[in-house]
Formats: sequence, C-alpha cells, structure tokens
Amino acid sequence: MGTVDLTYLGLGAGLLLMLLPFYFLWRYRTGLLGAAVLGTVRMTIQLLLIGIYLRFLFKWDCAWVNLLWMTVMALIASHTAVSRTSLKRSVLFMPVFVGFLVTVLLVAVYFLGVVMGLDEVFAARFFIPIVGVLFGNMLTVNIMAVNVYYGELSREQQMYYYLLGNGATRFEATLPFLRSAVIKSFSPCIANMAVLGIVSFPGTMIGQILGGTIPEVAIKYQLMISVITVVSAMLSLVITIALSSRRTFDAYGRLLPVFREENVAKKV
Amino acid sequence: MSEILRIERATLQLGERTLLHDFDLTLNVGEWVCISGESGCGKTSLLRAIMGFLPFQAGTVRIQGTELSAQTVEQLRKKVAYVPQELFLPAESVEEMFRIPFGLKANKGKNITSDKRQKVWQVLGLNEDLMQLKTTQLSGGQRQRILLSMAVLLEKPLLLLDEPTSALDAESVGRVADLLKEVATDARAILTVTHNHHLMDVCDKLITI
Repeated sequence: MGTVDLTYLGLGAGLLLMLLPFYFLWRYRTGLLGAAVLGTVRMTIQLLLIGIYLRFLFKWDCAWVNLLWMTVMALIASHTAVSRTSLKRSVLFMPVFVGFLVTVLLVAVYFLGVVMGLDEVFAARFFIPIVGVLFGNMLTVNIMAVNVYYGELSREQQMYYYLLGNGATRFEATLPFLRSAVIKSFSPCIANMAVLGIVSFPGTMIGQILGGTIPEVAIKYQLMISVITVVSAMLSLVITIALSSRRTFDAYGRLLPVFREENVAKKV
Repeated sequence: MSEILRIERATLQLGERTLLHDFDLTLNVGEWVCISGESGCGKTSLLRAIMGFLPFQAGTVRIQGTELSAQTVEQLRKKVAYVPQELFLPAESVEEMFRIPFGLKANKGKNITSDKRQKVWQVLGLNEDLMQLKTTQLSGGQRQRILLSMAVLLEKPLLLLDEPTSALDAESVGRVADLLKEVATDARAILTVTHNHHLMDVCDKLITI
C-alpha cells in the first residue's frame, strides 16, 4: 500500500466542510462564529508552517535541535495551560513547564528506546511526532485537573480546614480535591479507551492506515500511543500539582491567594 | 491544674482591622469556656488562629505546653478536634461521614465502638437508625449533632467548636450542653464560640470579646 497524497485543491474542498458548523454557529446566534473562523484559519496556517518546519527538522535530524524544539513546545503548552486557568502565572507556570518537560522526556525515551527499540531515540522522525501527541493530551488533562483542583479547594476551604483541624496532614486534607480533579480529568480518557476500535477509530491509527501502513501494525502503534498518553497525562498532573502546592500553601498549610486579581474581582 | 491551652498577649488582625489586642486565655483540663461577642468581632477567627489557619500578629499559643509554630503545627493539630460552622462533608451516607475524620492517619488508633457512639448519640437525642441514612436525608440539626458527636468521639485533649448549636432547637441545645459538661470532666478542655445563652449560662467560664 502507498501513501495517497492530498492535493491543495482537495484540502480546500475539505475545508469547505467547515461552512456547515459556521452556518449553525451563526444561525443559533452562539457568538462563537468569529472565534471558530479565526481558529480554523490559525489551525490551517500553523499546520502548513509546521509542515515546512518539520521538513527541515527531519532533514537536519539533530538531537539538540529536536530537544530545543521540545522545550519550545513545552513553553508554548505551559503558556496555553496557564492562560486557560484562573490561576496566577507565578503559581502555575513553572510547575506545568517542569511537569510537561520531565514527563515527555521520560515517556518518550522509554517508548522509543525500550518499546520500539530504537538506537537513536531523539531522531526527528520518531521523537517529534511522539512529543507532539503527548503534549496535546497532557494539555487537555492538566487544564481540566488544575481548574477542578484549585477551584474546589478554593470553594470548599471549610472542608480542607476541617480535615487539617482534626489532625490531617496536608496531603490527607487535599486528597479529596486531588481525587476529584483526577476523576473529572481522567474519566473521558478512560471512557475513550474503553470504546477504542468499536465506537471510535483514533487519529493515529487512521493516519497510519491512510499513510499506507498495514492495519495490524497501525493497531499496535495505536495501543501503545493510547497507553503513553494516559501515562504521561497522569505523570505530568502529579508533578504539576506537587510542585504548584509548594507555592499555594504556606508552612502552616494555609491556602495562599492563587487566583489572578481579575478573577477574584469577578467572584466578588 | 494541668493546662491544655494558653494564649498570651495575642494580637489578631484581619486586614486593617484589629480583632484582638493583648489577648490572654488559659484553658485547663476539665474546663469548658465559651466565647461570645457581636458578629464579626473575631470569635471564629480566634478559633482558626489557635489552629494556625490565621496568623497572630503578636503573642504565643501553646497547646499542652508546646508553642504553635510552622514546625509544631501538624503535631498540635493532632491534639485538637474541630467542628466548624455549617460543614457539608462529601459523604453519601452517615457511616461514610464517620469514616472521614476517623480514617485520617492521626486518628487511626482511635477505638470507636458502637457502644461508645450509641452512648454519645443517646445524650444528643440521635436515633440509631440515622446511621443507615444518606446524608441528603439529614436535617441541619441532625447533621450538626452528628458532627459534634464525631468530634467528641475523637477523644482529643482540646475541642474547638464553632457555633455548635446554631441549627438546634432549645431541647437539643440542652442535650448538647449536657454532653459538653460530661466531656469536659473527662480530662479534656472545650472552647466554644457561641451566641446561645443557654450554653453561656452553663459553661465554666464566659469570655466576651
């Protein structure tokens, strides 16, 4: 089987499909039409530019350049994660950045080196796509988990202080909130895993099959991709919460002001 | 008399407002002290500061002789049972509600037999059938008395209670007073923030701030 390339005319025809959701966003007066059009334009331009960049990245195939690229991705992902929560940048940015970077390195090196058995784990062709897949999933899970954890902790301080006041360690007192954050952010992952291949055909597998890979190989890769995305989401979440906790509680376990001023003003 | 709680020359501020200045309080074994005062005068803040949830700007707090500091706070909180105002624990059933404080590492060794619980519940007028109920089926008064019973059964040297009778009728307030009198004699000390006149009348000492 060979790769069937898409022509630019074909791509344009595909993008025309977006007119359908645009129409309903306008028809139902959702106020989301502008954002949706802008999002589509941004996505198209970004992907085309990344395509050009990746071509050079693959051509150079230098481990240091690839690691630098991974760090840039971690910075952008951390910035995106922080801007989608109500928490102060000073509280969350470094924990998310470190969480993302450490996780991606560990999981990608394990997958490429141990599972795939590659000698060159930082080879652009393998390293860059795997890093990209991991970042995408970690971002979604982290944003949801951090919002739930700090949102509930802030709303239900009475409960947190009740536990501390009855002898709980800080870990025990934050455990109900951590539990809730993990349940809410991981439930979609678990549900997706459970129906994989029956209800949903994931992008990685479809992409490989359309790209000419035989289904058996594509399925094996999909299985591993599903595993490493769940592992990396959990690991990055644990690191982010553990590191951000150092900045959100003082030595007495008091919850410090973690939300940005404008959000506090909105809440009042 | 052995001392459970000593607050010396404490100053407590919330923002620009000074709630307490040069405040002293000593609580001995077997003593039950009530704190009263107008709303917003700092009663709840005082309880929270004793547990280190709010900082005293000056002065010291000692629980059983150990001074409250960042190093000792966790150890001191193990000596306290605390009931805040209006708390909804995330538990489906009353049984699960009990497991929350008793499941903590600091309270794992507490031997809470159903005999002990029944005895406390009897004084508080709580029916044994409540144990089988879901927490959503409880009234505000029942929930408040159950939380109080949990604090008592933790058998800590110091009980800090914030408005423990705010949702109770006169008869239940009397029962709570009976229980607290009995508990105080059992080598423990109780500090209660309250607006309730009956509790103020029957406690050992009333401090108005």
